[in-house]
Formats: sequence, C-alpha cells, structure tokens
Amino acid sequence: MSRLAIDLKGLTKFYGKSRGIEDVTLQVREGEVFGFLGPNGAGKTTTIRLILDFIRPSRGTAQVFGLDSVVDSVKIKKKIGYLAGDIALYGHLTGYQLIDYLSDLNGGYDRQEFERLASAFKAQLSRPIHNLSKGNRQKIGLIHMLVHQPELLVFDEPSSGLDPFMQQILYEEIRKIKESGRTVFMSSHNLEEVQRTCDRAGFVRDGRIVAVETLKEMSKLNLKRYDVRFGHDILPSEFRSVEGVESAQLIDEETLSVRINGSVNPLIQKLSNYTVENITEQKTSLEEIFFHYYEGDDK
Amino acid sequence: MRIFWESLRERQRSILAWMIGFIAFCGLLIAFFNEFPDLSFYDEIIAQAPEIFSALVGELTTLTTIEGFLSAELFSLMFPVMMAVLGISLATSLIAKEENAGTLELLLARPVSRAKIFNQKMLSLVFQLALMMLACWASIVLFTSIYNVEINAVNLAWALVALYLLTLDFSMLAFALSNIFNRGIGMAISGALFVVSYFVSNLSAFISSLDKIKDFSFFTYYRHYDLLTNGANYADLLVLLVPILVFYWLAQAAFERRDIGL
Repeated sequence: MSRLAIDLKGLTKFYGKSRGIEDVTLQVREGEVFGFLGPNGAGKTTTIRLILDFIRPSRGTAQVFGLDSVVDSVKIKKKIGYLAGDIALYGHLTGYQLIDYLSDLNGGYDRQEFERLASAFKAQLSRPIHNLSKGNRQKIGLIHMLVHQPELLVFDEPSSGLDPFMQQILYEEIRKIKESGRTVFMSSHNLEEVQRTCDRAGFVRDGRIVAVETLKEMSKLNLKRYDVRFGHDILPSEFRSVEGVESAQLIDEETLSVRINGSVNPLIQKLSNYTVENITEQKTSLEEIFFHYYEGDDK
Repeated sequence: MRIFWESLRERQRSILAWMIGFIAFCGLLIAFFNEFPDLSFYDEIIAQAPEIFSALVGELTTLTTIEGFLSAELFSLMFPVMMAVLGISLATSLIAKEENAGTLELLLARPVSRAKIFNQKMLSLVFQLALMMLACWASIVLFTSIYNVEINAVNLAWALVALYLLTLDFSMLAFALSNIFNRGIGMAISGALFVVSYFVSNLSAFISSLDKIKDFSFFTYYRHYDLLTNGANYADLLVLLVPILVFYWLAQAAFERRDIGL
C-alpha cells in the first residue's frame, strides 16, 4: 500500500467565533490526483492554508508525507508546490525575474523543464508582471510551481483565469504529473475539471467533509434533473413518493423541478397521468451532487 | 539573503529619492550657515526668548557654531521627523504590505522558515535607515569641507548613531505592532508615541508633572547637542538600543505564531 501524501486528522480552524473548517479527516495517497470540491466559502482554501502552515489549526493535525504541517513546515515545503487561483505576484518583476527569485529560495530549478513549460504555456516572461492580464499572470504562477517538480502539487482553483486552450494544457500537465507518480491535491468548484483530472474527490460543505468518492463511484451516480411544465397547477408532494425521486420543487405554479437518482421510468409512468406541456432535462450541477451527499449524510 | 536583496530592489527608487532628499537638505542648510556667518544676533534673540520656545524648537544653545546650528536646525526636529516618517512607514509596509497584497504567501510556500523571512525583511529596514544616516554624514562632511567649516566628523557620526537608534525605537515598535495587530495600528500608535515622547522630553523642564515621566521618553536619551560637541555617551545609546531589541523580539514572536493573510 502506498504511503499517505496528505493525512488530515480532525483538522479544525476557527476564526474567532466563526468556523473555517471542523473535524476534517482525510487521506490522500501518494500518486493520487485528489479533487477537493465545494462551493465558495465551504472551507477548501482554509484546508489548503492549514496544510501549507499559512494559518495554524485550532485543533487536529495535518501531515504531509508523515511530517507535521507546523513543526516540519520547512521540510514539507521542499516537497510541495502551491498555486493559488487568485495568485498575487510581484508586479514590478518580470516573469523571468520572479521565477529566478522564487526558484532561488527553492534551491534552484531545472533549466530544461523551465524552457519546456514556458514554451507549453506560451507565457510572456520578459514583461513586468503588472502589465500582464490575469491569464498571463496565472501562467507564470503555474510555471513557477511546476518548474521545481515537487512531489506534491497543491492547486487552489488552478484553471481560474485560464482560457479553455490553456486549461487543456494544464490538464495535460496534471496527467503527466500523475504518470510520474507524483501527487496532486486540487481544490475546485468545477465538477467537469475534477471529473477530467482526478482519481478521487472529497466534498466539503459548511466546513465539513460530506463525502469522499472515487470518480468511478461518482460516475455510477445517475443523478438527473427534469423541469416539467404542466398545463395546470401541480402539487410537488404528489411526486415525492415516486421511486428514484430525490426532490420535487415548484419553479412556478405549473412547473415542477424533479431530481431523480436512477431510472427515469417510474417518473414517466407517473407523468402519464397528467397533462404535460414540456419536459426539459437540465445539466446536473455540482451543487446538486453536493446536495445528494449532504442529504445522505443527514440520513 | 535573497529576500533581503529583493526587498531593497523593490524600493531602490524610493531609497535613492530619500537619500537625495537628505543630501540636498543637509547641503542647503550648510550653505545657509556659510552665507550668513554672523548669526550672533540670533543668539541674542534666543537669549531673550522664553525658555519654552527654545524647548519646543530644540536645543538652541547657539547658532554661531556649526554644532549648535546643526543641532537646532537638523537634529532637534527635522531629522527625527523625516527619519520617523521613513522608518515607521517602512516598518509597517515590509511584511504587512506584502501580506495585504498576497505576495507573502509566495515566500511562505518556499522551504524558508518564517524567522528567515522576518529577519531578512527586518534587516532591509535596518539597512535602509543606515543608508540614510550614511548619506547625511557624508553630505554634512562634504559640504562643511566645501565651505571650509570645521566639524568633528566622529562626533557627528555619534549624533547620527543616536538619531539612528531613536528612529529604530519607533520603527521597531511600529514593526512589532503591525505584526501583532495590523498596519494601521502600528502606524498610529508609534506615530502618536513619537509626538508624545518629543513633547514630554522637551516640556518636562517647565511642567513638573511631565518631569516624572520624562525618563520613559526616548527623546530624553537623544542628546544631540552634547553628542555633536562632546562625542559618544554610551549610557544613552544603550538605553536607546534596549527597546529596539525588545520590540524586535516581540515582533518576531508575533510573526512566528500568528495566522498569515487573514
């Protein structure tokens, strides 16, 4: 069995009286690409900042490759590369100067790897960073993180600010990282991004881990949502007992939004008793998947 | 030492502008002293002025000697104010500004201890203030030499050392407070303490209640006229040095323990 890259035990952070995260227990194995999913404010960034020792836990521990995040912070950072989604860089430096500066603090970097990344991302490295767009700043951030070839890469919303073409290149880099046996811990609120890149995903909501699933298990989840328009008033309660229906809510007096998990047949049979003007299948949102796990957790 | 050098590089234009300002100011005042060599009538005015006036504007022992002139025109108020503005604003920006901008995380994500980041940032503050003192010393020595005015360069250096320590007292206090609380509190409290300390020290001779607390004022140990005329007073310099070390320890302890970037 491979060793643990990240091991969080009862990790808790309070900001005064308000809660950041509470009792987060999570293991990420070495060589795994792990997605950390949750809506804004759920506690994803707080968890990452605790792992990186930017902030100190109120309770619990975070270990990286068996090292304590607070006590062994410097040793851990030799093994970690970190990129924030809303990365702040030194605006007065050029990309070359920034990477030279930060790499110096990391103990140097592989020149060939740097050239390869600069070419892959088509980054503008010779202009002062304050003159660059958010996307170009994000590219420099990605290069500075990847160039050290760390054992564990921690991304906080990595594709934020990148255009779709650059996102593909990023996903390709993550694939290469996985092939090389290194570990990726990636926070995101983009389900598609996680589905494309991750082996497992953890769902965080209101500061707590709601579920941890493999992407295989998640793909088995057959969540669908349909908006059904009737030619008359309708009561949602009439549909809540139908097999597979997880929720039924009114959008307006004549339109019902039904979320089902499993076969659509029981719903079709039920609808045959009504006058239906229109049925539209809606894309399942990340929030709905959260809701599915959240409700499960409540039960 | 890369963080130290990058901190200096980021501020290189500002450092240069401040140094030019100090050099020009010193040059201008020495030229003024040279152009108006007979300042004895000022001494008569001073002799007749109420004591409280001389207490407020500085140690106006005499304006006819270069030591008395520099003491009254530069060291009593102008230099401390200029240095305090520079020192406090620098001290509260070195870490707090990077923290607010988010760039401190770039450093914290490297395999570099918090202590190392802190010490190199602090060293850049100490170095920049020392550069200003060096610029003042060099320009005063240079301009007095150009105008054939005799000055004891060693005593001048001791007066500048005292000014340097005085500035570091307020700067390190600001540094500590900005690490314990925030940048605004650091600036406000250290700035207010500078003003209070100045008035307590200078008015204590006339207001008996202030006399009891003047020993707690940093300005009490900054006897610039004595230093310019008689040279080093190690006891005073030591008193100015101790709070710097205390504030440094407090600032470092706060930076080591606190959450960053909240």
